[in-house]
Amino acid sequence: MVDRNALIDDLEAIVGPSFVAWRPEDLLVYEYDGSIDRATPLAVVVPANVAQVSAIVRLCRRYEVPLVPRGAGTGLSGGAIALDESVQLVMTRFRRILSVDVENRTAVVEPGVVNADLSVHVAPSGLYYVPDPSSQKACTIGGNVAENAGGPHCLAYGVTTNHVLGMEVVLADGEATWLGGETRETPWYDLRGAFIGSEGMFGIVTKVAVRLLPLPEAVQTMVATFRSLDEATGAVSDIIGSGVVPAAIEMIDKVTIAAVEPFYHPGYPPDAEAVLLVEVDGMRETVEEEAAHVEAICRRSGASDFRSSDDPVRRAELWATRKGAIGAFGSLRPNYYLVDGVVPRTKLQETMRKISDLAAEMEILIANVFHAGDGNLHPCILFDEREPGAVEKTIAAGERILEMCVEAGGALSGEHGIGIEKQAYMGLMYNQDDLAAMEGLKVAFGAGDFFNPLKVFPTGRNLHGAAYRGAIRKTGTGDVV
Amino acid sequence: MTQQPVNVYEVDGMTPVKVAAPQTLSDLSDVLRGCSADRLAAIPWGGGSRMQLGNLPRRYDVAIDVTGLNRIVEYQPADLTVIVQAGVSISALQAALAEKRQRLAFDPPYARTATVGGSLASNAVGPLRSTFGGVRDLVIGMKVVQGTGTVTKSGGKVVKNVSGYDLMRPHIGAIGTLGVIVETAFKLVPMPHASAAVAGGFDSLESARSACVALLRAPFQPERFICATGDIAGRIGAALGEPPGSSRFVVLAQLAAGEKAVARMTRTSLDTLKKYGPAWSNSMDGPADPLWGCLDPALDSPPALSMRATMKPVPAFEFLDSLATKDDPARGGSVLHVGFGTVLSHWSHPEDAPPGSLTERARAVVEQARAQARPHGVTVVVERCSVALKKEIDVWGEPQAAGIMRNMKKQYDPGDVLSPGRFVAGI
Repeated sequence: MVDRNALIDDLEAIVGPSFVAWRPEDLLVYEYDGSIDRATPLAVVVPANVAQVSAIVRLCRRYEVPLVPRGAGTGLSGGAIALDESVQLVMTRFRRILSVDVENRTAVVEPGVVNADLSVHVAPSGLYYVPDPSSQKACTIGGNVAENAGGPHCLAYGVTTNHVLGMEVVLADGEATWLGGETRETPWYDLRGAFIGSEGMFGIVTKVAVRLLPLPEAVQTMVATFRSLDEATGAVSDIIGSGVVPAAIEMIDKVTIAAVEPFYHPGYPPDAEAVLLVEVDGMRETVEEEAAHVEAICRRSGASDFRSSDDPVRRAELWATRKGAIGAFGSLRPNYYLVDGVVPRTKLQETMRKISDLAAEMEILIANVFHAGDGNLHPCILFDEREPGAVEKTIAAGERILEMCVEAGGALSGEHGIGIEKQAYMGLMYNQDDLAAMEGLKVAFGAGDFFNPLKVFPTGRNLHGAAYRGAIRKTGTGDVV
Repeated sequence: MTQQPVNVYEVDGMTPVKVAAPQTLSDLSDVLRGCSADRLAAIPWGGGSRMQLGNLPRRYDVAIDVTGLNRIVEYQPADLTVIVQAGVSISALQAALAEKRQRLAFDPPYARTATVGGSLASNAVGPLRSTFGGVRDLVIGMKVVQGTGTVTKSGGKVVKNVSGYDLMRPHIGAIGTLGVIVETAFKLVPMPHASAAVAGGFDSLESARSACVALLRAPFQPERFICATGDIAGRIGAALGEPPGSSRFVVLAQLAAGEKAVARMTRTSLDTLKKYGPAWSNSMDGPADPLWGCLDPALDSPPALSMRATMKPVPAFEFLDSLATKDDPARGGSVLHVGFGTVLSHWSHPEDAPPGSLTERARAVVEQARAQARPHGVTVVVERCSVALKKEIDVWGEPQAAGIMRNMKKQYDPGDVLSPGRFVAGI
């Protein structure tokens, strides 16, 4: 049994009493992230520098207490949930942009820097940081590295691993080391690449070198409305198949349209079943050409309404219904569970039909908001946790959807990670040998089960949802937490 | 398939005892299981165009020729993805994709000889990396056979996937020391509708660098973008009809997009180059294969020494210059991939030099290059050199986190079957 009081004293000795949380009421806010799972950490510690991180790692090793890194806690797969009586290490004090090299288009930042803030910071130099998760106004670069985060604009430009050049990390021995650097490539085994997307299980990121891209000369955002989901997904396949790869192709379905209409008043036609948002960027000539091409395909596919703009204010309005969709679900049901599956783009139509059939069969409400261009689905199962059996039914539906994705040749997660949420389903994609090889990386980094334990791999225990139910029971109210 | 004699598979003067030529994944798995059981050391072979990369093998018993694994497993043009076996040549793959007006944005040298597996294992360099990144950025799924014979996969065939750890990237550039790559899924890009090349010859580092930096600031990125010196610069100039030796640096950019965009890119690029006082400037419509074909030394008359380093693009110009001024430029040439920062440098020995002096000379060149790169926090990898020099240096330079890499080797090749000794730090 861990001597919790002694551990808290020792943590306070490293960072000062103001930066250790341990009272039950203080720990409440660290019990959850953006997923539906919850657990209470043993204590929360918020270091200010690398030396403190190293000291905390060594201390927790000595106490044999696992350590769970956390950024902004916006993750959607339970990655930042502290299972197994762990100490949570919160990196939000690492918030400096250390350097920007405009000529070589790189920046070195601390992991607690908020994703969108980096792009804002470098915009005067005509640069931006590409990966743009929907939570980009809150999520941190460090969290993005842990989850290998994506975003709408990753269709043309790639995800986090394609934009992070290197990281300084503190490993389980408490030593800080660089993996990669400030250059596009290092020889030897790509340890940088292996670390990105390891969901905080190999070590703590303390610095991140990223590459920046020049802001495009022109951007055109187009929104097409369709009378059927089939027509809209057909248009997506036609656009990709025709040799144009837009910067983003996003879609929302009928349920989502109903949710966003009262908030953003987009005034979509009343018979709209799907809304497609396509953005093209680059040189003026390219944008003109590709926009005309996209418009022609949308109209040919049966678009009943088509809007298009290159004006930044109007473009933001066109994006509003997509970016604000998740928040608007609150008007339909108090809870949602966002499933993050991927299918090959050619299976989009078929999979969307199956999901729709599933909703009817299980009598549940599913809203779809997703990155259609790369086949990354985000069916949101809307529910009310106060209804008996609703959580179980939701989780069961999520599992069915993921099975459909894998059967279609897809993947369990496109950008949210496995975490607690999908660990039990890893066997759908990988056999024992595949999983053992992955676990081998954890060993190679010397991490064992010290960092973020009981995540990603099947544990044989039903942690997903169980943690959630446990948390509800513990609040003792049954009300929405 | 007719079996080649063992001496074809010589590596650094060592010849294997036997050759295995697996035709299927399970053949390959059996071969490695056998090697593991008999404690034999195996070196995987693709097309053989980059077998000089690596330290001297500690042991070498079996050559595994994977060119029998030569199928395109699955190609879905509408998904912009392809799954291909390791033994398919780069040119065969590109030809199949070109039929659907698509391509893999990876153009390593010797495309007809080089295989997909070998190009991945050696992390080969092609000029498209300036825009599309290295080949590490194009892989979405991979199947490998570990040293024990165990087959594992990671990733999949969709373009976005974070299901589990990324076990693909460590194999790219590992020259088969963690496992033999058998199957890879790539994301693809459409062929551009139009393209053109622009080139300019410059006499000073300052003007060549300024022209390139200015071009980097243009509202477009050339899809291939290099600055060359030495005989490579000479060959490009000659292909454009410029007199030999007319400039020390040649800047070459390939512009690709729609027709209207390419027209403006060509105008802007030529204007930009001209602003910095080139000795000459010129352009060529279309894919400009005669120019891009100048980048690599002929496969049948290889250089004595090849080096590679990747640094930040702007400081890389000085590094390029330091390589170019060290010796008679006619004896070699270097290429900087401007949008990426990779410098490749090739050196030939003077034919009349006494053999004993060659190792000393090559060693001096490598040491100087490494000294130049060190302040930038970068190592120079020697991709090709003599066996004599390999006895004296680690061709991989000074590694980062060597302990983690050794642990990885233990995880995936515990019996030290795969290319023992050929990787960095004794791995």
